[in-house]
Order: sequence, then C-alpha cells, then structure tokens
Amino acid sequence: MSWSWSYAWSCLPNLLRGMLITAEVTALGSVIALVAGLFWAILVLSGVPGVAHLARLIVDFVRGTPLVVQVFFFYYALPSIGISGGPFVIGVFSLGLYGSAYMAEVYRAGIVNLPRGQWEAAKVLRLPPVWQWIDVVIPQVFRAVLPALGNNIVVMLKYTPVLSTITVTELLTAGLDLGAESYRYLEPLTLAGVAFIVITIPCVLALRVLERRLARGAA
Amino acid sequence: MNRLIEELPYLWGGLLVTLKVTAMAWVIMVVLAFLLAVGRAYGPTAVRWLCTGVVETFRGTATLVMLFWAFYVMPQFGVTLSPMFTGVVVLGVAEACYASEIVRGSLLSVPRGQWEAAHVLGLRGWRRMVRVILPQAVPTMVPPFGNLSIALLKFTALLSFISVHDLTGRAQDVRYEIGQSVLVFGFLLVIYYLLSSTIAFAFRLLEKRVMVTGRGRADMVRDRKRRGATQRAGAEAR
Repeated sequence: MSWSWSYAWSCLPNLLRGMLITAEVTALGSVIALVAGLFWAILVLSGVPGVAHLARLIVDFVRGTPLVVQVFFFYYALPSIGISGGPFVIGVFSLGLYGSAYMAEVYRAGIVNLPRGQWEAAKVLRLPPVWQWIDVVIPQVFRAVLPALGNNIVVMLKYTPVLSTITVTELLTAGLDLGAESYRYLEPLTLAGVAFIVITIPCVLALRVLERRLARGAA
Repeated sequence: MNRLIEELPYLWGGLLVTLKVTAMAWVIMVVLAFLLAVGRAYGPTAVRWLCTGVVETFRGTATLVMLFWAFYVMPQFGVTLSPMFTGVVVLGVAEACYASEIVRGSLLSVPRGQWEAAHVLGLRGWRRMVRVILPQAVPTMVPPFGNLSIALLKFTALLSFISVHDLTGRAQDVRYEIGQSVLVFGFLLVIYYLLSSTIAFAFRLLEKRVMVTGRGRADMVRDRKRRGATQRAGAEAR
C-alpha cells in the first residue's frame, strides 16, 4: 500500500466540496454561538433568581455532555416538536449551541474582569441598564475577549466532523465516502486531516498576532 | 419508559466500557503530556522539534478524523489493532498533545530562581525536577486537567463509530430495539452530565488539597483576596 498521487488528485474535487460545507457549518454555527453565548453570559450574571440558575444549568449541561449525543438528541427531538430542516440545519443548530456554552464562559470572564469603574461611570452618566450594557460593557468586553472567541471558533471547526454522523456531507464524510467507493482510505482521509491542519494553523497564528496587538492596545 | 428500564443492565455494561476506556486514555494522556512537555521545554533541538511537530499536528486536526484514519488506514499498512485499543491510543495521544501545553506552561511558570536555588543546594537533573520544580508546577495544572479529563470522557463517545460498544454505542442499540429516540438520548445526556459533574467535583476537591499542601500560606491569602475581588466584580455586573 503506497501513496498514489493520481488517486489523491482525483479525490480533490469531492474533498473541496466537503470543505465548503465544513466552512459553511462552522461560519453559521459560530454566529449562533457568538450571539447565544453572550445571551447566556448576561443571563448567568443577571442575578435574577431562577433565570440565572437555569442559564447556569443549561451552560453546564451543554459543556458536560458529548456533542455527538447532543447531535443525536436534536436530530430526533427537533422534528418531534415541529422543527425539521434536515441534517444541515440540525447540525448547525447543535454545533452553535455547543459552541455557545463555551463562548458564554469567555464572555462571563470578560464581563467579570471589566474594571468596576466602567460600571460606575455608566451609572453616573445615568444610562439606563440596557444602555450600560450596549454602550459601555459589551464593546469593551468584546474587544478584550476577541482572541478567546476566535480560539473557540477554531475548536468548533475541529468538531464539525462529528456532524458526519447525521450525514452532513462535510470534509470527513466526503473522505469516508471516497474511501468506501475505492477501498482506499489512505489518500482521502490523510488529505481530510491535512486540510484541517492547513486551515487551523494559519487561524491560530493570526489569533496570536491579534492577541499581541490587543495587548499593546494597538488594534 | 418501562422498556428503557428493562434495558438498564445492558446500558450499565456500556457505562463500564466508557469508564474503562476513559481511565486507560487518561493514563496515556498524563504520562505522554509530561514527556512531550519536558521534551519540548528542555530537550535537545532534535527532540524539541519532534515534540513540537507531534503536538501541533494532533492539535491542528480533528480528533474524529484521526480516529477514522487510525481505524481505516492502519490496517491497509498491515497494522491491525482492536477497535478499543485503537480508540484508546488515539484519544490518549490527542488529548496528551493539548495537555502537554498546559504542563509546559506550568513548568515554565516556575521562577528561574527556584532552579538556581535547587542547583545551589546540590540537586541536579531528575531530583531537582521531582523535588523542587514539579511540586510548584503541579498545583497550577490541576484545574485545566479537570477540564481535559471531562473533554476526554466526552470524546470517548466517538469510539462508538469505530464499533466500540461503549455507553453511546449501546444506547444506539437500545434505540434500534425500543424506538423512543428522544427518551434514550435524553437519558444518555443526563448520564454523561452526571459523569462529568463527578469528575469536576473530584478535581475541585483535589484543587483544594494541592493548594493547601503545595503552596505557601501567603499565596493562599492572596488567592482568596483575588477571588473576593472577582466576586465583587460579578456582583457589580448585576
């Protein structure tokens, strides 16, 4: 068994299609995660009895259970409450929810570490609570936690192959299908693995640069 | 519901497999993490490059892709291992690469003066590492290792795709048997949540212990003050 470049070459179109789906799922999932994560963080910190505890429980529950099982659960549970958008929609939803729990922790740390003078200043200016959040807190927190949020998106990208289990035709599914057709798994699966490295390493390096620039207050 | 209760003994067997697999992969993770971290932080150039290469490759790619690669491609090279063994090794190595970064960070965070002091006291090599450096580095590793252990537990659910009959694998069997997918997978989620909460609880206890024995009183007082400040900031955010 040795590497065949011609076979590897013939795999590329399908793998690229898979990569496109992976990118779409990651992009849509991260939008959900970024928005829902902030929502959870605000609820957890709201201090409203009941609501804060419930949000805390949801975040802990999502973080404490495997994504695969969540995906299965939603794959069967969502249609039974009338939401049926096929594997892609369920995949994006599950990945987004999973990511949101991790994003929530990042936002929470960012909000808690915001100097209290900022809150006091916002109060002194007599901003209503909602505007304290929108005008003062969120913009500063968002800047401070941007690299951590980016890291979470990279992690979500690496979780997308889990969606192959509900037949979302992303990179891993594409590789497995190619392997099953020809009984040669070496080239498609290796290329799929390398594709992840090729995407994630530049992202991680870019995030490191961003982090350094933010630390200097330049960005 | 009744049919799910009838299937509980079968699921219990799967739970034992999940625990066994997690424990074995955990041992690989911890041992390899220290080797990789020491190699990357203090090894000669060749070792350093090798460790960096391994760590970045595993961290750069998706664990599930690694798992399928080991499962489908290695037999084509004539290496046939049992699915469970393959899974344990892949998960252990992959998590070790994440863990090694934590170990390395903790080792490098021990002040240089501690190395010099140990040197002056005549401690060299492994004795210096084990007696002076590790006792100071390990306490800072405990909380992130708790998170990694939970991540490891969650990753074992993926082994059901390479035909290991762990908790998730057996739950799928039960689902085929009795239908009621939402109930079965909902139940499965609760079980995993209880398991990961237990791990989190154990690591919090461990954290308290190593904080008391491993660090000075002054550190503890400072930590308590810092925690207080964080809580105040939290209260302020309301």
